[in-house]
Amino acid sequence: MVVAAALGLLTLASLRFPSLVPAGLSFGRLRAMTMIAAVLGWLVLSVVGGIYYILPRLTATPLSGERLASLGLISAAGVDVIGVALVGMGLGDGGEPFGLPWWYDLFVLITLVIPLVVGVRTLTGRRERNLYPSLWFALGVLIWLPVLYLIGNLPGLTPFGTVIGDLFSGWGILNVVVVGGGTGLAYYSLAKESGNPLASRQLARVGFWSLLFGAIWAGPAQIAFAPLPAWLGGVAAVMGLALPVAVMANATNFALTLGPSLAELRERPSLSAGLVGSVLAMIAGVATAAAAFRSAAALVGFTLYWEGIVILLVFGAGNLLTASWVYQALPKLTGRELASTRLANRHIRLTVAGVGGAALLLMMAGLLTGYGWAGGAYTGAFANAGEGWVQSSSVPGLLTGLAALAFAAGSWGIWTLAADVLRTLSSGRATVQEVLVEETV
Amino acid sequence: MSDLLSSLAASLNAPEAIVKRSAEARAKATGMSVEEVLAAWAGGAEAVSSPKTQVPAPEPQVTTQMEEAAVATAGPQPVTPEPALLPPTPGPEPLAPRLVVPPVLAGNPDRLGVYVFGSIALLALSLLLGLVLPVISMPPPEVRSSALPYSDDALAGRELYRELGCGSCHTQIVRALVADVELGRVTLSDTNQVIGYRRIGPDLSMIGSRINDPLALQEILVAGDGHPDYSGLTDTQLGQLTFYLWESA
Repeated sequence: MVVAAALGLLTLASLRFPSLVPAGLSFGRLRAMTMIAAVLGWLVLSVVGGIYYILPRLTATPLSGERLASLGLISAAGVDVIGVALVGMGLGDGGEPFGLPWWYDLFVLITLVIPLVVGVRTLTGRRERNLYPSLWFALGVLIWLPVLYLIGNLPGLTPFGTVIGDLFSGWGILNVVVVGGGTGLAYYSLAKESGNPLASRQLARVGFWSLLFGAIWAGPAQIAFAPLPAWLGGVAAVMGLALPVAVMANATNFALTLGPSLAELRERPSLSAGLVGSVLAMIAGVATAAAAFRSAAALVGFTLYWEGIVILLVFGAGNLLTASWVYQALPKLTGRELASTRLANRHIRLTVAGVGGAALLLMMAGLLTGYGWAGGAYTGAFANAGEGWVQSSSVPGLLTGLAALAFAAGSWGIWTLAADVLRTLSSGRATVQEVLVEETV
Repeated sequence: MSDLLSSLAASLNAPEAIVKRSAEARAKATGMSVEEVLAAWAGGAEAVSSPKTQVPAPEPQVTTQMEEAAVATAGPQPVTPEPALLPPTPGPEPLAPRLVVPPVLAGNPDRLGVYVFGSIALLALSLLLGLVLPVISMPPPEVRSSALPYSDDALAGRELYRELGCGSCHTQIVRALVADVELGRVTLSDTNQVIGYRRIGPDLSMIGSRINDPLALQEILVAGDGHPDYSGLTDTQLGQLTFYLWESA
C-alpha cells in the first residue's frame, strides 16, 4: 500500500508535469504500475486475506488447504512485485488496467485461481449451514476474479475487442473485487465490532446481486459513440443502474446496522472506515451510472472524469472497506491492540479529504474538458503531441495539478494506515489473541 | 441459569437475550443443555459435543451475525490449543490466547448452489452482453474502410506504440460527435489502429495529415514540450514509431 500510494501520486503528478518522471516512464506505464501495486498487490491481497480470515469463522470449518492458501498469498505478493518491475522496465504490453506481458499473465492467473480452490473447498465442506452475507460476497469475488483477469488478457482480439475486453476486466475487478470484496468483509467487521445484528439480510441480498448486475457497464459507457452495436449503449445505461442500487443498499444496511453505535465512530475506526468506505463507493457508483447515459457519455468520454472514479474506488472505497476488517481483525490475529486510534482516524480523514478531493477535482476537470471539446475547443489545431488539452488549457490543467496535491494528502493517509499496522505489530499493547480451533465432534 | 447468563452477558458486553439465543442455538447443534453451554463459555464445565446432527430452528435471520459474534468471543473451549502466531519483533508479551470455536448455528440454511450458479450466470450474462455480442456484431464497414495500409516499419511501430502505453494518453478514434468533428473521418469498426482509453494528449488517428513532416513528429517524441521523453529509444525504434504516426493519415 505504501508503494501503491507513492506510485499513484507520481502518476497523477505526471499528468500535469510530464517532465517530472524519468525518461522512458510515462503516464501510461506509471498508471499500469500503480494499478498492479494498488489493485493486485494491495487490495486483492487484502480482500483474499480477509476472506481467508472470515471463512473458518463463518463456516465452522478449518480453511481447506491452508498451506496452499499461504503459498498462494506469498507467491501473489512476489508476482505483483515482479510485475511492477517488469512494466517499469518497459516489458509490459501496454494494455489496461495492468499492462503485463501475456506470458506473465499466466503466473498472475495461477495466484488468482488458488483462492477460488481454497474458498470453494472450504465452503463445500462447511458445517455451518447458514451462509452469511459476507460469504456471498466472498464467493462472488472468488469466482469472478480469475475470469475477469483472463478476459482482460485475451489474445487475438480486434482493436475494439481489445479495448472492450480491457475495460470489461478493469471495471469488473474494481467493482466486484475491490468494492464487493471490501463490502463483504465490512459486513463481517461492522457486525462483530459493533455487536449489533445485521440490520437487513434482504438489503444485503439486493446489494450483492445488484453489484454483479451492474459491475462491468462503465466500460461500454467509456467508449460510447464508438462504432459498436447501437443497442449496447442502452443496455449499458440500464444495466449500469444496478450499480448505484447495490452500493446504496449496502451503505444503508451498514448505517442501519451501526444504529446506536454511530456515536462511537470516533473511538472505533473499524466502524468508521467501513461506513465511510461504503459512502465513497456509493458516490462512485452514482457517478458511474450517471455517466453511462448517452448524453453524459458524449461529454465525459475519454476524459479524466473516469480517472476520478477509478481513484475514488481504489484509493478511497477499496482502501477504507478493507481497512475496516484490518482494524477489526488485527488485534485478534496478533494479540496486540491497535497501536493508535488517533492514527486510524487520521487515515480515514485524510483519505476522505485527499482521495475524495482528488477524485472530485478530476471529475470536474473531465467535465470541463468535455464541455470544451463539445464547444469546439478541441480541434485538429491540437496537432502537436505536447499540446494536449490537460496541459494547454488553464482550468482543467489547474484542477489536475490541484488533484495531485489533494492526492498527496490521501497518500499520507494511506501511509498512516501502514504506520499504524507496523506499530501495532511491533509495539502494540498486549491483548487477547484469538486462536481458531476446531471443535471436537 | 439467570445469574450465569447475566454475568456472562456482562463479561461479553452483549445483551442477555443475544447470549441466550446463541447458547440455545449452540445447545441444539451440540446436543448439550443450555446450562452446560453457558457454563462452558464461562470457563466452567467441560463442553463435550455430541455427534448429533444439526436441527434447523426458526432463528430470526437478522440476528445470526450477532449470534456468531457472541459465540466467537465466548471463551475457552475444551480443545487442544494451536501455537499462537506472534510477531517476530520485540514488544510487550501478549496475553494468553483465547481459543475460539467457530459457530455452528441452527439458522435458515442457504443453498450454496444458488450463490455459485447465480454468480456464474451473471458473469456469463455480462460476458455475453458486454463483450461477446458487441465484438461479433460490430457493424461492418460498407462503402469505405478505416483499415490503413501500413508499411512493415509502421506495423513494427504500432507494436511499439502499444507497448509504450501511448494509448493511455492518446486515442486513435474519431467518434460521430460534435467534439470530434474536426479530427477527421469517423472511425469504422475495421480500424487497425490502437484505439486508446483517454485523451490526455491529442487524438492521433490522423496525425500524419496534420503534421506531414516525419522529422517534426520525431522531434516531439524526443523533445516535445510537455510530452514524456522517449529519447531512450533506439534510432530504429524511433523511426518505426515515427512511421506509424506519419502513415496514420
